Amino acid sequence: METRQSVPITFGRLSWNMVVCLLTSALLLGLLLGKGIGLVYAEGPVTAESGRPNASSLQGLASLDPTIQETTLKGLVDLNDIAFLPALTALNDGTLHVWKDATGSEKVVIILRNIELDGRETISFLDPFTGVELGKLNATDVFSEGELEMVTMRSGVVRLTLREGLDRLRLFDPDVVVRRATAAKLGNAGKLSKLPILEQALSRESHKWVRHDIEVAINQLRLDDPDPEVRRTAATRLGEIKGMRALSHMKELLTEEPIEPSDTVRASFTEAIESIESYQTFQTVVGSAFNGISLGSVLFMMGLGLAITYGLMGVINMAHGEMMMIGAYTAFILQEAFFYNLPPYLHDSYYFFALPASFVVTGAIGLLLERSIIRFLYGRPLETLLATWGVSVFLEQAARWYFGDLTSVNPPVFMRGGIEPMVGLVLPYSRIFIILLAAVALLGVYLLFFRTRVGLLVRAVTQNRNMSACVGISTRKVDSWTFAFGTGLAGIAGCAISLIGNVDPTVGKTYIVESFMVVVVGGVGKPAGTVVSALGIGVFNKILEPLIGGTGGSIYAKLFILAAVILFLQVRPTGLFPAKGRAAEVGT
Amino acid sequence: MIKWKEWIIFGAVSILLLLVLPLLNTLPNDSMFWLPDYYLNLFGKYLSLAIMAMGLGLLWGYAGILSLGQAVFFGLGAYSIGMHLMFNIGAEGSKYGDPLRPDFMVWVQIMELPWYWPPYRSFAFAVAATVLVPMIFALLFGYLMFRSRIQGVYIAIVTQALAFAAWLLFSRNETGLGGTNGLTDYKTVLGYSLLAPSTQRALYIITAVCLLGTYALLLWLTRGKMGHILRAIRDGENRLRFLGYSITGFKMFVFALSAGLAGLAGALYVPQVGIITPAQIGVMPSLEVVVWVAVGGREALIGGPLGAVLVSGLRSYLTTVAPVMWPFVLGSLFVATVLLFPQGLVGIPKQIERYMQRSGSRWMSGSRRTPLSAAASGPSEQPEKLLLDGEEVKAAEGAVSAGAVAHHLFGSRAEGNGAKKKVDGGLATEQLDKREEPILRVENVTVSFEGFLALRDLNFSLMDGELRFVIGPNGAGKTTMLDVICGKVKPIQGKVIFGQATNLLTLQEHEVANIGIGRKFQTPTVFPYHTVFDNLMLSLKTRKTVGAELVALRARQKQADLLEILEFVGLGLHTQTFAGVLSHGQRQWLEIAMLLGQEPKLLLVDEPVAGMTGRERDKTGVLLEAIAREHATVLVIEHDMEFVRHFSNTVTVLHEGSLLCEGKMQDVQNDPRVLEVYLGREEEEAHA
Repeated sequence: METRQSVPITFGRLSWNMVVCLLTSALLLGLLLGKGIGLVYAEGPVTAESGRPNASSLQGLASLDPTIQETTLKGLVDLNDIAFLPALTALNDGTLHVWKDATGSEKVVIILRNIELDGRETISFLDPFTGVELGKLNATDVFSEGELEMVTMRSGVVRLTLREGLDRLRLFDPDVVVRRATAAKLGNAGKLSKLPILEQALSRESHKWVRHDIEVAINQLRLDDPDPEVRRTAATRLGEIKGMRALSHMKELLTEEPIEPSDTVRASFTEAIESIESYQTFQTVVGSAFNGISLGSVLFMMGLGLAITYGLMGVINMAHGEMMMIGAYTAFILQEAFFYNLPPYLHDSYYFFALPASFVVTGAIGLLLERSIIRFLYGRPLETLLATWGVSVFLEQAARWYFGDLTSVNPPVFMRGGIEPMVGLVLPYSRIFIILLAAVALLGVYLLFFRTRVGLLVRAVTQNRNMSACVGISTRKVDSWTFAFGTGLAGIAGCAISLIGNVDPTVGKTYIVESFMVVVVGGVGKPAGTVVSALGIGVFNKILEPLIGGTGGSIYAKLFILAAVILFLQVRPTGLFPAKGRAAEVGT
Repeated sequence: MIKWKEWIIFGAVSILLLLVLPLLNTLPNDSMFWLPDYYLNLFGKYLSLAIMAMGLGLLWGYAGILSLGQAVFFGLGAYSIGMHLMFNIGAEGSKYGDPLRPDFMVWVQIMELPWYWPPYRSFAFAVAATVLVPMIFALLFGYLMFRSRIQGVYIAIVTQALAFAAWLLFSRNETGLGGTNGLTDYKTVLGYSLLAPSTQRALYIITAVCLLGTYALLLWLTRGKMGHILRAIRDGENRLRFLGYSITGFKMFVFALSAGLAGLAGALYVPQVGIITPAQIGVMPSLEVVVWVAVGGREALIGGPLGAVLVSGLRSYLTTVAPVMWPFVLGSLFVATVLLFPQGLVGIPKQIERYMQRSGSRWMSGSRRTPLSAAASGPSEQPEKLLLDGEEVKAAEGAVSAGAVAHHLFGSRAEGNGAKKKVDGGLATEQLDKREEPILRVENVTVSFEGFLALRDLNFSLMDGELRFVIGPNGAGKTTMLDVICGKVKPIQGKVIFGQATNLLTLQEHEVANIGIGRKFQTPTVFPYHTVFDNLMLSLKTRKTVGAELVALRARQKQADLLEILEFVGLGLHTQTFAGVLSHGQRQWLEIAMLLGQEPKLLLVDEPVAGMTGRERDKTGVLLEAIAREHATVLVIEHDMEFVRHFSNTVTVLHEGSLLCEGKMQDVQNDPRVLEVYLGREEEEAHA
């Protein structure tokens, strides 16, 4: 006879302690992130000086004569006007063209090759200053309607001037990412001659992180300054602002020829290196902890559904991972549907529909699974385990067969990028969103289970199935809907992970073992246990990865966690918050 | 015990496997009966997998432990032999010609042979390791799992995690086992070329012999007491523990046995297939073993092998014909087996029989949960007959007197006492004549359940040979006190001394039972899928360790004693009835009978007469008194005041976890504190 372990769901006496704990740790994390470095910059738009550009200034650039091209280019570069940036970039990329139409009028344009939805190849003509599309032609029609000629660089001098000019202009590019990359590039190039332009850029820059990068670049260059005092100050400043990029150069100056001659400067180098390295460790830990929390959030959403159904029915759903997969594919299908049927500005809104849709779709599939299979296996948890595993194999293969091996969900534009609370640490919006989503799910589950009548029924059936049936609760219905709810949560988790990685048929398998561990450690029937064990496993996992290091870091971290779970069970066989006393006897 | 019919089948299968198939293979190639080398080799592969399936059948079907990590043990065995075969390739056979390291190590730049490689140069070591390494590992892992009482679904999850972990580890290059490519390219074994058909034929025969040998071994094991113990673990682990069995030990034993068989399977598989990779030791292959056993049926040992051969055959066929379909078929096979044929192929005849009998009822709903159809979830025999409730009470009544039985059992125990001294380590039984010695002292015991004090500073003692009643309102801590004494609940403070000096708090449940404390639970707890006789046989006082049970497998049980006890409790006619079909009262009796079989010095009896008729109740009283008279101490927890009033013994009243008062029933009844506890409450309730 199978004895069923059914344990009552209670939020636990620890519940509010838990909430306070979580809030405190969130606060602490916030403080850690906020600590960052002591640089505060005001934000503001980038502007460039100089008069308005005009089309004629580009004509010289298109000249076939190298001398004319050189002169024009130098003139343009000296103007230091970002209005010419698109055209110069295009010249560098080989997309700057001269278009001579049927009437014979010549125009300098930037071209863009596109593949249309119906498979046609087209060429767009863009204004070299504003980037506005001037017209579009089928690739096959271009030469029947006029002449299109690429503007090439006519001499080595042109090439050199252009490269230097671009480096300089890009420091004023409207795009923050470009400005930061340029600053980094100039810093690494190690040419003291670039100092004035960097200083000029710094004086005009108002974005916090661009200023930081420019400052690092400046001080990095100054490390090679002939004046020892300048070198010393630069190193000290780099230590202060945690200029990680300058780290390798400073180390070189300490160990490789030519070694830094001055003792005091060397001392300041050492000091700066230490400061930066200890900061790096700190930043890795914070970053890993954040990734861990995000992983923990996914595991929590997975584990919660498992724990609830296990507590209620004594059933472990091996197809839970595939429910996650279905959630992710639901997001994918909606993305595709929006992409092909709606105007571009609506494409990203798919995600708002994807969340509820994946909950509903996976919930419905869960309901079907419960009604068609699990219902007939009550009281036989091991058989249920096997049947649901059969379902999981089936579903995985079905997904592989229908969708193929790799499908990628593009996160909506507003989910790209992230916040940068401290030097070198980017917290992607998508991961922040996942954490918030898990928090909302926790709140929802809490309210549903402890503040509504439905929740009361579920808890009643969990604690004593027969008694609940006797007082008129339809335990069958409660089972079905709770199961559906649990799988729905997995669907949401699937929708969430579609933001941070590819969706493939094995996506469920990659999370399922860890989700089971969450249930084993957290115990059943107590959301608080699931929260703590999910976050614990997630954070431990991610912090161990860099600690172990190497290519196998993530794998050994997983192994370590599995071993730790087995050992943990020696101390706490029934999970973190076991039911004790009479409650533990119920149903055994 | 094996019936002659089974012998014939066993013989026929042996001849087919060992003689007919290899002979067909040696026929000339153009003969129409010729069995191509390829098929013989394929079949040999299936047979090696069948060994693993049989091991899991034992573990899952009998002991009820579902391991989702069998492929790990298979892998340990397979890699053991694989490492030896890698050495056999030698420098001249390898591509890089390194005298020390196999090719793959040169390839992934492992400069020195890892420490665990060199012993495998020896064939004998490798062969021993194929079984011993998985067994030792299973013992360690099993110890960790079973010691912390992980059960049922959790076992499945934890072993699955093990499979996952093993797969990750074996896939790494730095573990020195060939990474994802595994070990392959073998040339020879013991000097014989692995490519030669004759070698393959020999391997096939060795595999078949191993399979048949395994079957014989397991059949012998399960037909004896070990089989009963394993099924009892599956059906009522707790009851068995309180009968004095070390559940951890038995589970470790069966887990290690099945692991050893998996290892053997791996060792036979590798030379026939020529490769072992991590893909064969992960989560998926582990679950495939489970499919084999589920499809074949775990009701009989033969189910696993049957399933292994059929499902592997299907797999080989489908992966060549329509590879995309295989996962679909596999998944459906699982669902269909579990839903439609829960007893697998070997259970189908029985299922049809039952279906025919129950022509009126719907098939699907009927297959769920009639009391004994559930027995189908594992090996069992059909009950000989079902009996109506009540009939039995008359049957054996008066035939044997309570006193006689008690004298017989406990008298003989007292006589043989001298001999038992050493075993018992000088416990209270030595002091038989000093009746004033306390046999049990509970001192300052406090038990806390999440802050709720079930027992507060409880002091209590019991004289040797006494019959003591403990009463108290609900929640007074009576059952908790018993739980503390028999080791189920550990108090946060206090001492429990048994006899002169044995501190019970340091002992585990089965150790407490083995030093002579028997426990009857509040709700009757018996093994429903064992016959009444076997229930009793399990309780019988013997050395209840794995080793002793293996050695004493065939020893004659004290059958006469057992029958006498059963006669007395009125179950004499039901010795071959399944305990699951007994009525509530009969189960109470059976459990008391089991306690008697255990020959305890102290009996803890929790509400023995609950749900009994007047006459049954009286007989229980007589028996309890008789046991106490013959020097076994009895502690009875009871709610039934009428029952307690019949006795002139001391009564202890517990209230809110502490001792309220103690004395004769008449005195206690008139004690104002007791009146307040019992009656005062009623008044309060009346007011409220």
